[in-house]
Order: sequence, then C-alpha cells, then structure tokens
Amino acid sequence: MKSLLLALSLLFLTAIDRSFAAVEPDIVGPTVTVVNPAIGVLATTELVVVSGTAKDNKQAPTAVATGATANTVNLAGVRSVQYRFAGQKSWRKAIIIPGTASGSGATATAGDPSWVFTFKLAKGANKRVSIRSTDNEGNIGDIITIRIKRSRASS
Amino acid sequence: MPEENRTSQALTFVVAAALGIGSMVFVAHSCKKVTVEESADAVMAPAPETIASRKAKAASGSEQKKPSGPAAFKKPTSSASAAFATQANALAKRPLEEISDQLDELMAQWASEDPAGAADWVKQLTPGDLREAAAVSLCQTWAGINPPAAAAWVAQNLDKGMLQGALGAVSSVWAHADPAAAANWIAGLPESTDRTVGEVALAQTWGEINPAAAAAWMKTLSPESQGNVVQSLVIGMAASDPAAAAAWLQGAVKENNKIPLETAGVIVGSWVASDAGAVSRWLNALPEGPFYEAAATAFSQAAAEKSPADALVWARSLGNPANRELAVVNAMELWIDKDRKGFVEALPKQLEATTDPALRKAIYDMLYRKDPDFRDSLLNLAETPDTPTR
Repeated sequence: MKSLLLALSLLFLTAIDRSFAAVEPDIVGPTVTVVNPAIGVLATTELVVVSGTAKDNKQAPTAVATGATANTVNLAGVRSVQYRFAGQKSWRKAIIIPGTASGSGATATAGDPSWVFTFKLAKGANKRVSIRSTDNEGNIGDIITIRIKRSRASS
Repeated sequence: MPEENRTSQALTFVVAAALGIGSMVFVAHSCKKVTVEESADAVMAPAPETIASRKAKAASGSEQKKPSGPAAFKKPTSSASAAFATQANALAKRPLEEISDQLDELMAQWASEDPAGAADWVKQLTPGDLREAAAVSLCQTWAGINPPAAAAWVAQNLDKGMLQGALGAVSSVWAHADPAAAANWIAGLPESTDRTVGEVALAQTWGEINPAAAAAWMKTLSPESQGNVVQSLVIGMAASDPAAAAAWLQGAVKENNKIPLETAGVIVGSWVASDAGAVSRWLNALPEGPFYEAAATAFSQAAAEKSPADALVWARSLGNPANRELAVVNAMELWIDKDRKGFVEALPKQLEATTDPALRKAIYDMLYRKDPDFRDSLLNLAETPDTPTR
C-alpha cells in the first residue's frame, strides 16, 4: 500500500512538473525571411518590392486548431513585421497576410504569414533596410538587414 | 533583444522557413550590374559567347557535365590584377558596411579585366560576409560577360550555404541574356536549397522580361517548387503589368494548390503603391473566397496608411475572422498614430459596431498595448467590459 501511494505521489509530482513546463514563458521572437528581391538580384525598377515570410516558434491557439475549417488562415503567432531604412529611428509596419492553413482537425497547422512593403529607389542607388517581426507575446525576433541596389541600366 | 549591428552587413536569409528545406546564411545582395554591352568594351575582357553558342552548350548540358576546371581560373599574375588585389586587401580591412559601394566598383572593374583573378581573390577569403558580398559583386559582372564560366565557378564553390548570393546573381544576370540557358543550368544543380535559390532569382528576372515564358517555365517545375518561386515570379511579372500578373495568379492558384494563397496579398501590396484604384476595382470583381480574403486583407492594410476610416470599412467586410481581426486592429492602430483625437471620437461607434467578442477583445488588447491610458476609457465605453489581458 505504501509503495502504491509513493508511486501515485510520484505520478502526481511528475504531472505537476509537466504542467509547469508547458507554461514556460515564450521569450523567442519570430524569424523573418526575405523572399524578394531574390538574393543576388539587382532591382530594375523604381518601385522596389520587398516581401517574405515570418515564422514564430509558437503558434497561438487558432480557429484552425479548434475548428478545422478548410482554408482558415491566421498569423501563426506573428503579430507584425516592421521595417526601417538606415538612419531612421522609427519602424513602419509592413503589410502582413495570414498564411494558408494546411491539414485538418487536430493536425491542422497554420501557414506562415507573408509580408510585403515597397519603396522607391533611383537608378544606381542602394538602400539598407532592416526588418524584424514581433510575436503575440511581444517578443521581437532578430533584425535582418539587407542592402538593395538598383542597377544603373534599368527601366 | 538582439541589436541591429549584429546583422548590419549580412543578410540572414533563413530560406528554410520560406522554402521548407534547410537554413543558411546569405550576405546582403549588392553591387553594380554591368550589362553584356558594357562589359564587352572592357580591356582584356574575355570574348562574350554568343547566345547561340550558349544555347548549344546548354542544350548539350555541357555546363553541368563539364564545369570549368581549375585551369580556367588562373592566378592573378597580371600587374592589373595584382593592383586590384592590393586595393581589395586594403578594403577588406575595413567594415563591410563602409566599403560596400567601393567593393562593388572594384569587383566590377576587376571582373571585367580578369574575372579568374578576381575569383581567386574571392575564393581565398575567409568564408563570411565579405566573401559573400565580393562574390555577388564579381558574379554580377562576370555573368554578364561569360555566364557559363561564372556559373561553373559558383557551382564548383557552393558549399554549405555559401555563395548563394553569387548563385542568385548568376541566375539573374544570365536570365537577362538567355533565360532558357539559365534555367537549364539551374535545373542541373543538385536538388537542394541551392537550386531553389537559383530558381527564385530566375523567376523574378524572367517574370520581368518575359512573363508568358516565365509562367510556362514555372509549370515545368514540381508543384512544390512552383510554390517556392511563385512569389518572386509574380512580383517580377507585376513590374510591367500588375493587372495581368494578378489575373495570372488567380488562374495559377486554381491549377496548383501548392501555390500559397497569400501570394494574392503580396501582389496587392506591390500593386497598390502604383494604382490603388485599379486594385480596388480588381478586388470588387473577385469572387468571395480565400483568394479574395488574402488580397483584401492586404488592401485594407495598405489603405489604412492613407485613410484608416475607409480601411475599416474594407476590414469589417472580410469574411474570415482572423483576417478581419488583423485588418481591423491594424487600421485602428494606424488611426491612433495619425489622428488620435479623431480616433477617440470615433471609438464608441466602432466598438458598437464590433459585436464579435473575440474581435472586441483584440481591439482592447491593441489599445491597452498601445497606451495603458486607454484602459479606463475602455472600461467606461464597453457595454460588457472585458479586462484587457495585459
């Protein structure tokens, strides 16, 4: 009887330990990926389109997970994507588009959101732009900085 | 939180996240572009190959089967190359951010005169940001002079995610001269992230110069690869005719469910900067559904930059709750930034119009996050106050 009680106590403590582990605070911000302009490619037009995706380490509970609706979209834990040019202090919000969900029911996952912003660039000029993302917990991910250059012989 | 200077010069492209393959580090793309015509005038530049000869080589697969061997890359023995190396070594001692423009110019000149010598200098650099940036600069020029040679050098030296900027540069510059040959070379790369990098760069450039041919090429790729390149392809297409690009995308997503629907939002985000009225008309003609939702969600956010109140009308019309929440909260946040007084005056009516408890909570959360002072006024305004979560 004693050993049974001991075993139950151990099970209980393990369960408590696991429950604490499950609510560990999220302190990691989302990762930003630049898709466009493609790496190594010069801009050829005055209007430069910068776009990509963002991915958070933890996805907030979503309609996908609970409702299993086909094509339901959400931000997968990402609250915003922001950018600023070299020399600027304030960040601007990029347009963010929820990702497409895949799967259904309990196995459904939300797609990573995409983002996009534009700016104008003169022929032969270049700009450095920094991009970052924030998750629903307010964690800011690593800042990435890209140098975008427009060719001299462009339209 | 990490500081910007940790990534100041380099571009950390975690292509894995977007492409679902693996992760890697790239260097910021850069550099001067030298066209074939410009480079052909350069002193001692190798004679440019004709497009016909390149096509013949590509058709025979010679680029993939017989990459240029070490003999093709002579040591920089010329006095000119030695002088370039001296200048490059001096530049290499300074922070990349300071020397980017000079490095572009130097590598462009060096590559015009002695690409093999320039390539040798790049190759002996320690793997890192400088090497990546120099390789991009080199290949922007070299690929304009002799695409197969530049491509062979890149293919030989690709290693663990390195030189992918150079790979993108070769793919794009070659595509300007002969996209089919570039596509053939990329198809011969090992099936990996490297090939995807090449395909994405090719898609953007080919989409700009010949949308129809680029679209036909995309269809030859696997459904997964099509999903990887479509964003760059459609942005390239939209450079000259965004309406046609949007129409093409609408058809493409019907044919291939691997094409992310959010691409519709990306094209709207790029198109709206040049003609918001046309985007609005296009959206109004779209049938309701996920494609429309993605596009309208992007449009609402873009519209909020100019008129948050108008954007809210669009935002509230969205059918998907997650999209609606995103767009409504975004428009309100921008409204606060632009006209706090006007927003506060409009807030009671806006809350009254918000019957969805989840949306109302999202608005409260945003307001409280934006300014905790809103909390008191919110509690007074709300008919059934929800305590903000933070």
